[in-house]
Amino acid sequence: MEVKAWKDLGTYCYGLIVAAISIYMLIQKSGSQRNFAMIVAAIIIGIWIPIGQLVMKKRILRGLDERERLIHERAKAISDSFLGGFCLMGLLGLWGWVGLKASVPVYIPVIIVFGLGAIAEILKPLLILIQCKMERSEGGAV
Amino acid sequence: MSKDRLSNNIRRLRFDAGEMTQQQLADKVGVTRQTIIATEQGRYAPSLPLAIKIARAFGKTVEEVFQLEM
Repeated sequence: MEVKAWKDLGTYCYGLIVAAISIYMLIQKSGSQRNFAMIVAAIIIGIWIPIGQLVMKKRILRGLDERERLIHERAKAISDSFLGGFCLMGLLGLWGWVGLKASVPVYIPVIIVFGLGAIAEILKPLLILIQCKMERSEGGAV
Repeated sequence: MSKDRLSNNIRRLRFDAGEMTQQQLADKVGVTRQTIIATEQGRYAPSLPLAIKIARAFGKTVEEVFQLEM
């Protein structure tokens, strides 16, 4: 589980950097006209997230024993709470910052949500590794 | 409200059972070695099915393997 957590951490960090650069370039190159590729991508992502969660959850949990499952679920609960809380904070804070009747470019709230989502995904393997480290340091030599 | 503490004598039972290793016990009960280590050191309280499997691996009852200190 720890080895997988390290691999996931590396993969998600790399993915976040690539996604950030891609989104930046996409925004720079795009105009204000409708982007059908983005609409299709949004539909696919929106459908994949709930279905993928169910499918992947079973697959991930299948290989874990009860203690590892507990660690995994704890990490997921914390990262999901982080995502929900910080999304609210980010979006409401942005709203307050710019003024309740002001407007911002549409990509800003999108970036906030996606950015926090990516950070929440990175948090999961990190929290797994932290829990394992805490377990070892509490228990001493094996 | 006092915190209950679950202790065990898995380590002693392993040695009494022909120096069974943690890995051997883990394989027998279907968990990882890390789970056996965490259970042995009292850092993880196993579920009831796992506690029963561990007790059966030593031919003991659950109460002979695990003790609840209140």
